[in-house]
Amino acid sequence: MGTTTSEVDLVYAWVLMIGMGLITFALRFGPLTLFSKIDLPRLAHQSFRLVIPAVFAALVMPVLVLINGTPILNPLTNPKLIAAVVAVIVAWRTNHMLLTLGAGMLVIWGLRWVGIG
Amino acid sequence: MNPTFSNVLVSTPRQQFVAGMRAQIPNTSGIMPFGMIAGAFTATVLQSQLLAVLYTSGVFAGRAQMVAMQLVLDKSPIFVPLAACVVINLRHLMYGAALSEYFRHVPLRWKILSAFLMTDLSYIVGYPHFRKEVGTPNAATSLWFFIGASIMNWGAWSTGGVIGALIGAQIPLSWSLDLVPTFSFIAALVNGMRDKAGFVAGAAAGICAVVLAGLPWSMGLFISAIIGLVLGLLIEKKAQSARRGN
Repeated sequence: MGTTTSEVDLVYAWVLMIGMGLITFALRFGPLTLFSKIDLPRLAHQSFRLVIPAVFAALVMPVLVLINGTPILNPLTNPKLIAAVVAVIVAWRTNHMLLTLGAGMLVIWGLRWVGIG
Repeated sequence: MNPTFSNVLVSTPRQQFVAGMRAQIPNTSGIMPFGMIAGAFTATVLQSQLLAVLYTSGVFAGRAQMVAMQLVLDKSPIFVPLAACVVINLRHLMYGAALSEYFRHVPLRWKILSAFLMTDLSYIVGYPHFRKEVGTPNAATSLWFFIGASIMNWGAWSTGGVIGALIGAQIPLSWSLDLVPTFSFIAALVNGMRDKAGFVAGAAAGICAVVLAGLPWSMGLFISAIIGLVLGLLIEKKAQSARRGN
């Protein structure tokens, strides 16, 4: 980082680490164990199938569209968009994770090699 | 039931475990460099390589860790990074809920292990596998595919964390390996969006996430996911009542 950081309180650091570990674990463990013991309504089961599209669209879209917080939709200045289109086509046709990420990364590297991005 | 025949067909826990690890291998190329960055950044901020290693391997939540370290740098009081950690990791409630139906007969110790190892990448590799095998003889051992995939993910992340904490992030940013998880997510996402409800859920969540990206602590992520989920469910309900009506 190169910056001169002042002393970080050791107690603060440990409390933070243990606290974050417990919080993260509780969020992961809570529903996993609780809902495995009770019968959930049908509506809940129907919603589970939608977790992947809903969560992963929300994870992916800002990464693809935003550069330093600003939406850039010009593929020449945001080549991630070109790679994403290729990845979507490969994913659609093959439903294969390795092929999809391989295609996306190859497009990113190829575009950089020809001077875009 | 012919026992010899079913012995051939049913996967053993060991086979499932190995298959899960193998399925996760491509993603290690993205998760290890991310671990390096997290380990290096944490070692710099907390000024302790030991803490950085423990943190990276023991908390196992990369996004939350990066945000928390930035908040520590900004000299925030401790409840701020802790609250941010809650917000960023809220999506795990959905993963845990969705996985719970496959954990009905799983002993507590494996629930604890699975919960500790649960991440975005273990979910997109593990959840479709559970769904694929439910109702088949292999369902009894599907858990081990999930655990195998998750341990591979944890191993790559922790290895990266140790390297980053000890000697710094060694992979040039220009390789863009930070985009590897994004493309894996796209693979899972496209498959989840093949039907109308899934498409609406994904499209709505994606648009909301871009609009809400400026909110602190990645708060937009969970809000967008909930909006997508609710809209997708509405579409599904509507389609069902239409089918019943006809």
